[in-house]
Amino acid sequence: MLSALVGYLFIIGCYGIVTSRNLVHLTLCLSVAQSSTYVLLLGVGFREGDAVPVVQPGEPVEPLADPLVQALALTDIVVGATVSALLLALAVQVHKTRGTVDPNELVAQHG
Amino acid sequence: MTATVALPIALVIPVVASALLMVLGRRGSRWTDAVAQAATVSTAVLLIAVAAGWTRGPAVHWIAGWQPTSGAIPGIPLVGDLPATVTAAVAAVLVTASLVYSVRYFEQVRPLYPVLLLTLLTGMVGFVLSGDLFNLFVFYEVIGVSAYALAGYRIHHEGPLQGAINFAVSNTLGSLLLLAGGVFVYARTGTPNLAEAGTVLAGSDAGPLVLAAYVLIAAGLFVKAAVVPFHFWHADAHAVAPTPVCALFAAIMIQLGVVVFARVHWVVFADALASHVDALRAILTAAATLTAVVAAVMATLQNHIKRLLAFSSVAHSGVILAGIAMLDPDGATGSGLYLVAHAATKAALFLGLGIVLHRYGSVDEGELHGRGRSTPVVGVMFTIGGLALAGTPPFGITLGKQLIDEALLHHGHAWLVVCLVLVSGLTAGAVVRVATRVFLGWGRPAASHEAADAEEADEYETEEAHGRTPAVMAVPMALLLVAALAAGIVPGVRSVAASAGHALTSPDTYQALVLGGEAVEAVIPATPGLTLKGVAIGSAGFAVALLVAAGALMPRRRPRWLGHLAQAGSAAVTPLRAVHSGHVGDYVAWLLTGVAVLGTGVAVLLR
Repeated sequence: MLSALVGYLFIIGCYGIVTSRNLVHLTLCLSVAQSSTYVLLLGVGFREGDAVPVVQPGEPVEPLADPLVQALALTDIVVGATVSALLLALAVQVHKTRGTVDPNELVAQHG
Repeated sequence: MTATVALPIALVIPVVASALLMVLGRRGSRWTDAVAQAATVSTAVLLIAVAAGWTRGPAVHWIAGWQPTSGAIPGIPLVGDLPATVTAAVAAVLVTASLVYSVRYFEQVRPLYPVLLLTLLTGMVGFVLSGDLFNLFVFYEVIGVSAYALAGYRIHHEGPLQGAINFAVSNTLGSLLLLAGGVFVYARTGTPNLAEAGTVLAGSDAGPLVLAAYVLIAAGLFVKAAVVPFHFWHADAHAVAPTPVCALFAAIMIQLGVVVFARVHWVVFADALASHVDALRAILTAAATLTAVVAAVMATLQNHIKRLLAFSSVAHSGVILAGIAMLDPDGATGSGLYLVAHAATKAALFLGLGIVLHRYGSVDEGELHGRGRSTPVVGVMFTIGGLALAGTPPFGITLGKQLIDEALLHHGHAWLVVCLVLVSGLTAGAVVRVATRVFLGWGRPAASHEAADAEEADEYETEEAHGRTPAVMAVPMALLLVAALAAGIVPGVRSVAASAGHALTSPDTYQALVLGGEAVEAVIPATPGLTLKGVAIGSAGFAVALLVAAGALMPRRRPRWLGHLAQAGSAAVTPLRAVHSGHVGDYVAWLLTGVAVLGTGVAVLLR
């Protein structure tokens, strides 16, 4: 079930990028594709009945969700935010330079 | 100093220096350059010290002291074994050369430029030193984000924006594939640590989860390595980045993808997939051949010289992958030597192109026709670089190629040896053709590049044409060519390459170093220098290069059958040019196709 969701998010994000007519939309689609990895990370570290992995010293350690993948999901989100910010900045520049944000109208390089 | 201390310092120096420049160097001045250069030089020195064994102790650093205790805590190591430190040192040396060159290249260097170069260096060093899959992902994106910004450096023009967007979207998807593969390995083994994951997987049969992880990790790293069909972003990013940055992209950045792929392949997967080694060899050989051939053909079709050299780099990246694909120490040794020699040669060619752009304000073959006559020295160096690319003896590329070819012949791939001679000849022939047209004015002028914006952007890069070339631009180019020659004739280079090749292909050595903290002395087999066979193959590449250049320069003198062949060829390559559309959506569709093909190949052949 979870793996189906991961695959769906990745594919639908990529589909959006392939067919995109707008660079802002394209950036958001990339974020959707990236969010598939958040779900994957959290899914890998979780079993039914696991507690939140926040414990004080001395507390009895119950079965906890894996904190490592949760930390990595945070890292992943930071990376995603950086890339989105950069792409949006480039989109703004494209609009200033060309007066369009449609990737189909960018024709400076090919072949 | 112990190696444990040297490794993190080598990584931290460029980070601190770039932060310092960001805060203090708002205006950009001489001392900004000095700080940046001091940082890259000290990183290079530290890495060379670890590589050469001048430091004490095993070359592993556990970040924050999180060393695994009976597998309870996943540790995060930086691993400075020979192949990793040598590659990282090459990156640091090239960034230094690029910074020195840039001092006079730009009219005014904005402080952001050295900051981005230092971040790129951090990413590259971290990427090869990483001993765990999750840090590989992080450094993949550190390289990425600084490189996207560098590609789009001339932000007021359409070309750089398009190139940066294509680059960013493709590589981000690549990083997601790498991350997903890493998560699969973690799910199967309970550790992201390469050495530990390899140990866990070694005893068991590879299930579907492991195969899926392999496909995802390979695809993610192939995007970085610009393996066809994951390569489309590469030429677009090159055509627009400032020339000293292109030198880094083409000479070392994409090759790191191949190096890290080799590392992950051997440390994590080699034992688990040992029974499928023939199938894997077939798959990787196919990928390498496709990359080398497609990119070599594309290179000869370019008149925009930056794009030409970019495709040439993809082709040579394919040759390096071909050596790795033999999955034995000899092939890896050849690839390592080839990588270093190619890095020096290709960086020299880009710096030479930068000098041309600085002097004449263009990188278009047609527009530059005959204008290079006033810079004969650069012309000679550019031609030498082109011929070195063909595998002309006695440059380092010849020796690397000889070792790769011997590995290919050992596995019965004589056809691929012939194929790679043609690839070398085509890419080098294109460079010689450009050099003859630009510096001698021979042949008919090439058709001018159609996109006016690209030219305008090129002119903007150096502000205006200059009357003379500063020494800080010509000297790095000359030194790099000397290095490319030294890689071929200095005997010490061969034994370092052999040790590195054996270290890269031996998971046991890596695991003993990381998990046991003991450096196992590799027994270095005596590597012969250039043999007659190597000279013959290199000379064949040289001959093909001259034929290709002559055929392009003198279309009338071609025998009729060759003319027909050329016509048929150009009809055949029209669709090939068309798929390099510059459209980011198309590139993503190709990337997904590549993943599907790779996945199908692995699923069919490894069952």
